[in-house]
Amino acid sequence: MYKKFLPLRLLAVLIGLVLIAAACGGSDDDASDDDASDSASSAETEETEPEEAADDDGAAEEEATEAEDEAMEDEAGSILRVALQFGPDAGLAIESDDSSILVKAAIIEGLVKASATGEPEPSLAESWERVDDTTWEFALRPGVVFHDGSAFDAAAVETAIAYITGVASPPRSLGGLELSTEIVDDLTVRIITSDPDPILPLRLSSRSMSILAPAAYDSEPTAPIGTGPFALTDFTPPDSLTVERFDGYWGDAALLDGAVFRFVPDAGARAAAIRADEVDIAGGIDIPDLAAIDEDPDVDLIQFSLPRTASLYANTTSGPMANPTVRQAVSLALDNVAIADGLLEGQFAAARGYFGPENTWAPQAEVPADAVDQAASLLEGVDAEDRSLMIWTYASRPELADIATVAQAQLQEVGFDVEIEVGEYTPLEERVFAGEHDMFLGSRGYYFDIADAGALFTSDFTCEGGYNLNRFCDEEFDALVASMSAADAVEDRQALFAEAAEFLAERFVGFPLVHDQARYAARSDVQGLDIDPFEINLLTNQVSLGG
Amino acid sequence: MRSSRLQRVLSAPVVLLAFSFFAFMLPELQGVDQARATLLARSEEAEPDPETLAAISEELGLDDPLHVRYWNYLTDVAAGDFGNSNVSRTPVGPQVWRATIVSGTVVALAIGSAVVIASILGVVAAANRDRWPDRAITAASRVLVAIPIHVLTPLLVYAVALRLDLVPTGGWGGPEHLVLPVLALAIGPIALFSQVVRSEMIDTLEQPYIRTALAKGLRWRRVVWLHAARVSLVGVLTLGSLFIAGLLGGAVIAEVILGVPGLGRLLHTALTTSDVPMLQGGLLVAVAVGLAIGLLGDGLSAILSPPEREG
Repeated sequence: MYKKFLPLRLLAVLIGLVLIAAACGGSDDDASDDDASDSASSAETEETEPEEAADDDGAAEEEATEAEDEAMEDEAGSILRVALQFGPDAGLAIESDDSSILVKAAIIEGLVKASATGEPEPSLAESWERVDDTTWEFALRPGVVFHDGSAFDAAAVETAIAYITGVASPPRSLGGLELSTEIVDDLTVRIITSDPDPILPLRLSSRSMSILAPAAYDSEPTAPIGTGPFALTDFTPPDSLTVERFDGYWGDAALLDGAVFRFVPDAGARAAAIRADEVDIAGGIDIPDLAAIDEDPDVDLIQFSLPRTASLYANTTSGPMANPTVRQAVSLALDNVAIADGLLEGQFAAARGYFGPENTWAPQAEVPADAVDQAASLLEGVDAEDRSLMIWTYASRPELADIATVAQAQLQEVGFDVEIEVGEYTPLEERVFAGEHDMFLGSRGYYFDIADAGALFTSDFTCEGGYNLNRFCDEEFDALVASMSAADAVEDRQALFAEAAEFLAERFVGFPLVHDQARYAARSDVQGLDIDPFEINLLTNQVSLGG
Repeated sequence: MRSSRLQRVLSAPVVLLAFSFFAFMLPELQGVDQARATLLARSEEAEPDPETLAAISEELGLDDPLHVRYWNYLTDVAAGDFGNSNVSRTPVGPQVWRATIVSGTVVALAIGSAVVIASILGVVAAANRDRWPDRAITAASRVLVAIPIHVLTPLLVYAVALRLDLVPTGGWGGPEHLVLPVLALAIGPIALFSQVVRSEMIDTLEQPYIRTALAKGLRWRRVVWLHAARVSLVGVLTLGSLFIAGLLGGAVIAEVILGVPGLGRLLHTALTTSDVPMLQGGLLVAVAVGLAIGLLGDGLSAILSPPEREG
């Protein structure tokens, strides 16, 4: 909390007068009034924010701001303050990535939730069973109500499924699967898949598959009316989102009164905010800010591996990388440990495969001690033309250009001639899909909302895959991936995933370099915080302040 | 001079039109596929599935020829409709308006405080020419004018918010949130304007009418503050109006770093997500505000400067 002193007060009053003179203000409160009329959540927002009625008067606004500050100080144990890197871009539409913020804010829930190990667990559905290859029956939890007071039942599930499968860009977790529903009774619903699907419950744990109140789908974008322990009270894009405890929650009542999520794009500003005790939790802590936060006795760092890998994708169909010997030489020449520990200060983990070691099934490649020498000798028999490589990458992930520079140096050391081009993502992606690249350095999450590798193998490595940056095509591999759709036991699926990963590693299909890590900071008085490895949950009914 | 001013007024719509076309063409010039960019903004790492891209193209009206899309856009804007954001699908107009008010408040306070503070510093420096106040102000100005805003803003956060604990580190809400963005934007102009005022003041103080006023027995302080300073301020006022457009550019960096939901941050987000309607709306308003302030500055300078008014 910052100190208030007389000159600042005077300045504040002066500024307040200017704002009044501007007759429009610019505060969150004003903005949220406008949003209330614009956004789909208007009805809810207006109903739950009586204090905003006084906003016409500038003096009242200033008093309200001060009162808010004092209230925040007085109720330090009841309102959680969070600063996140990415804010909602898509008006909180359920089918967009904004759904991840709604889940983090504990506003929405799905029929199924994922455990910390990625297994499906009951949420709004108490249980489920597979009736036949394409039909699953879900027993819904009784006594659940949405934040608008409407009842959660089979009809609500039907509305939600019909909407989400009908949008222009259906959730990634569905993987092209089409769904339909059949109501058995008020609390029993069947979901029918277009193709046999052994992991439907897991797919339903995806954030975009959360169930909203039927009224939420009447507007575009959808209104965030869920069943979670917290309900939305204010949304001021691009700045903040506020929730308060929902007393009608079906589970244990939330320990907090509410939470304020601020969206702060600058990493330094997030780090400064948590050090200044302006927020209780900050996400996306940048590497340069780690030392200062680590030294602060009142702030704890929370770090864990993310299911995301930065890799050099190789054009396996044309150019130098179509030659397996060249690919093997590249694989041997790249020193991932130097990139992870040297360049990235140990804040990324050296990759030994596309999937990190926390995936117990994933094979982790061994690196020979004389890898560089082996690479150099492999290159001796390679034409000069095939030694000349171009690496493309993009600037929106700042670490990529640095990684490209180190990779360039490592490859040049064994005899490659390497150039780098850094550009905008979408034009580069178009050229990659057209097969114009040698190598493309990109960062890619390997689980699309759900902890099942099948979707990645299909999209990224099969002949018809929609995201096949390596342009890899092998009938044997396609058959292996196809066999995954018949495997429903977790162990069987994981055995197939391991076989597929091994298959790719043996053929040097791209070069996984480093795995990303999540870096959060939380003030010491935050209790009950349990961020899962998939960064799905943040605020829960168990989080509290104190101690 | 009047005809030149008239020319500027008449050319304003042409400039606006040119900028609207520039904003419209930006994704084309960058080679960005708008449907793909919109899909990625809504759903990170989504596959470029042809059916999905076709549906988004249809939703955004991208299937129409370029000239038809641009004409539709112009007619909508003429009717006061800036369209919907490609990403959030919510109306652009209210969002641009809110952001403009935020940036306008910050920039106006920054430029206003810069003019006032720089005038005082410039007059003090000129009145104490070659003595320590002059040397201190000149040295500080030279240092501060050289610090780029992306360096200055984090320094201010560290010094004013973290070390001195006087204001919040960022965000938007109460008047206290204005302090850092206003400081970040004002320090450069203060440093520059103070040197302009100093130079003008030194010239003015050497004018015969000033010497006459002193010879008539008027006090030095009165001559400096009431006669010389008034004349010297004309230059800095004109410069201030010209600077506002530049400050809107600096506001992009300050707003992103400090989490201020202004026009700069809106344009930054629109650019990174290739949200063309938002980019067009924001740019049009930014350019319109810049043009209006430039014309206002011209008018102000004409009023304050007698020779120009007569010419």
